[in-house]
Amino acid sequence: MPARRWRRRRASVPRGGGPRPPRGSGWPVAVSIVPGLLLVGTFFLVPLGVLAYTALGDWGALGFRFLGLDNFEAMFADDTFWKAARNTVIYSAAGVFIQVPLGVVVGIILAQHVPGWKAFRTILFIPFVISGAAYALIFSVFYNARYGLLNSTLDVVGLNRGHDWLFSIDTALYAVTATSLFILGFIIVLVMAEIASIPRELYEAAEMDGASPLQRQLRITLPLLRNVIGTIVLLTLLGYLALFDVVFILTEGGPNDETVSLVVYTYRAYINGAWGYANAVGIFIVIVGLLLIVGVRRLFRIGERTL
Amino acid sequence: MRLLRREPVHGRQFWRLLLVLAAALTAAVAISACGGGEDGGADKPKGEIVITCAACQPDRANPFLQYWHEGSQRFNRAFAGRYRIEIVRNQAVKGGGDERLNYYQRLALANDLPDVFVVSPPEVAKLQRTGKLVDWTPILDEDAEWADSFYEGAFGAIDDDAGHRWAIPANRDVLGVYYNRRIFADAGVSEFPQTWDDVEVACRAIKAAGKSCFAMDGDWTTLLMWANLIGTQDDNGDFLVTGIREGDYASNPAVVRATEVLKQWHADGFANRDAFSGEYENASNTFVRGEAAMIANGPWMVPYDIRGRNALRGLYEQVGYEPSPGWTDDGRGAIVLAGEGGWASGAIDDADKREAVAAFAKFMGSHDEAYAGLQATGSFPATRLELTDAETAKVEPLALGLVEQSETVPNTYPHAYSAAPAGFNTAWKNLWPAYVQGKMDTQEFLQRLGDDATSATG
Repeated sequence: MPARRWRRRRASVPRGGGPRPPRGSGWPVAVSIVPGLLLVGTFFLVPLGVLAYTALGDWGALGFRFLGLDNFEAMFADDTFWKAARNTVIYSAAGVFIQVPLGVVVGIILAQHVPGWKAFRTILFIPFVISGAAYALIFSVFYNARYGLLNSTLDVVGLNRGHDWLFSIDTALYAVTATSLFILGFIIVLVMAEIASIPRELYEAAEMDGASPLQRQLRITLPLLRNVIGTIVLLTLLGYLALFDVVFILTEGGPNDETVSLVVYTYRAYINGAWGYANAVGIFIVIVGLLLIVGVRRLFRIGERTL
Repeated sequence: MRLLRREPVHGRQFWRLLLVLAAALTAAVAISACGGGEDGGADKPKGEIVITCAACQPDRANPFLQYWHEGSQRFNRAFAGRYRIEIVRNQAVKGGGDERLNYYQRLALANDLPDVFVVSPPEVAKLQRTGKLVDWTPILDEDAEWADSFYEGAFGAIDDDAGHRWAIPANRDVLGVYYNRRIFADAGVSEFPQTWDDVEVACRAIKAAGKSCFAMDGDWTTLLMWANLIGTQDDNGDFLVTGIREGDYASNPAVVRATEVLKQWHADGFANRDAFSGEYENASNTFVRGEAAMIANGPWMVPYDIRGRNALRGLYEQVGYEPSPGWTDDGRGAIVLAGEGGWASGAIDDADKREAVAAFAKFMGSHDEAYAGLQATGSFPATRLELTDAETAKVEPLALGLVEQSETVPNTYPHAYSAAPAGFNTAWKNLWPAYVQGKMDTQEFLQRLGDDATSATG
């Protein structure tokens, strides 16, 4: 291929694309993606197809019986389903409006390399590397009404009423929500990495123009973090949409479904042998997840370059 | 891309690479195929019948699984060359509960149930509907000696309405109430209460002395007490045997009465603060640390908790074990778990395997094995066990004493789990705290408990 033509082609390649490989090398590339396609087909497309089909029937240990949309009708008519949806929205909202801003602020502060920033970053990252199940177990002890650290601490200041934080209707949802809010490590690391890629000249120019440190963060750092914040928000929403381990280990969704999440609700149906119904809820979760991906990508214009 | 442009992969190189990958894949498949089951690598002697067992994996944290494992190994030695047990390992079996049932349901759907495994009565009720369980009725009918070796009523929780026997009962336990004599004495309570009214009087004194009256967990131990409160009522009918299956709890006066009394105990502060956690350890630790005066539980609590590492020194000497109080002086009762764990089999199409499974079930019910099980787990066998004086001397006296007392108490009944629908446990744990906290009245609680226990989403 002549060099001139090649350059022209390269210039017309859309964003994210690359140069076309030389003629004759296409078939090994095509064959090489076969294993990948097989894996995607086997472990993603086929299960997704099974999920979609079985969601339309009564599927259990006795076999499968096609029901059409009955599972979805039953799901939308079930108060517990809506309670699970409400709780999932609350968990997600707490994540987006408390956890993410907190992580971004801490990330921006640590990116200034304040004294001890490496130690803080490491300490704050620890909860992220602990498995959700282990983390939940720690908090089940923390909240225990009889010997938990929370009540023991309140005892020191004379405020311990022996409250059962996880199994009292009035506090269960707050207690479970608070459990995940301080897992900031992943957010901090992403934010710090993005800040490190911002040209220092921008800050120097702003400083010469008389911008205060706060103004520099608000006018330069935050706008340039749009992409990464959008990504974090998306990952946070998808994470809470699939929230299971923390809720299940702490309360199993109780008391009186006050803490049940959509996935715990699905699990209950599954474990009770109503696999088709569980898969109908699963389809609902998949659709919500897809809508979130599209919505958040558009809202934050993820993937579009700022500079 | 640059690399690709400069050094394109030649066809021969590509096929060579593909060949190497295919060879590696083939080798991996061959190696994994050779692995087989736990004993799959062993050469199978001619004529040996191999059966799979999903309740025979070792587990030092679970005395029953560990004992069944050791029993299966003794069976393999005793029947070497004739029958052999191959262990099927699975975490769901270790966990028990709903996960275990779901695991077996999936295997039933795939026609892949193990040849022998342990199930509870609710699991039997669900699994037998798949048509994949061996019906033991004709096998037992042909072997009268074996059939007669079981305690009367041992099959009660396993038999279906048509009299089919879908499992061979492994245990028959009597469950009572442990109490701490020192806490009783410190509170001025001289003897174990005989009636529920006496219990309330004792509990007020114990609470005034700064201790919890009951150790409860919102699940197992709470439901044992609920069963006691129901089972010791004259008009309880067969609620715990059959009525609990139907899900209509709110219209049963005995259930309403028992539920309200149990709630009142919590409202009066008789239970430990963490009585809703659903964690058995919270209840058992409350008792073995000397913070609560009473706990309802089975005989296995002695070796694993009361004599366990967490227990206060000298606790065992302070502990008594009694049948449940009753509503009247002569109305006490005890929970009898007959066939709580039963040997079921998925070997419906293979007579040889059924023969091997029957041999294993008989082996586990034999005198030596039953006695070994009693020693290992504190749990009594479902088969009649004639103990020598020397053997009797080695049996836990608290458990033995309760078994003797259970023969004279007027009321015996199963535990709530024995016949409850599969979703009962989840529904109870979910609703019980809300009910006790006054978020719903008794009728609504029992109505929802019944509805949720029988619905898909619990």
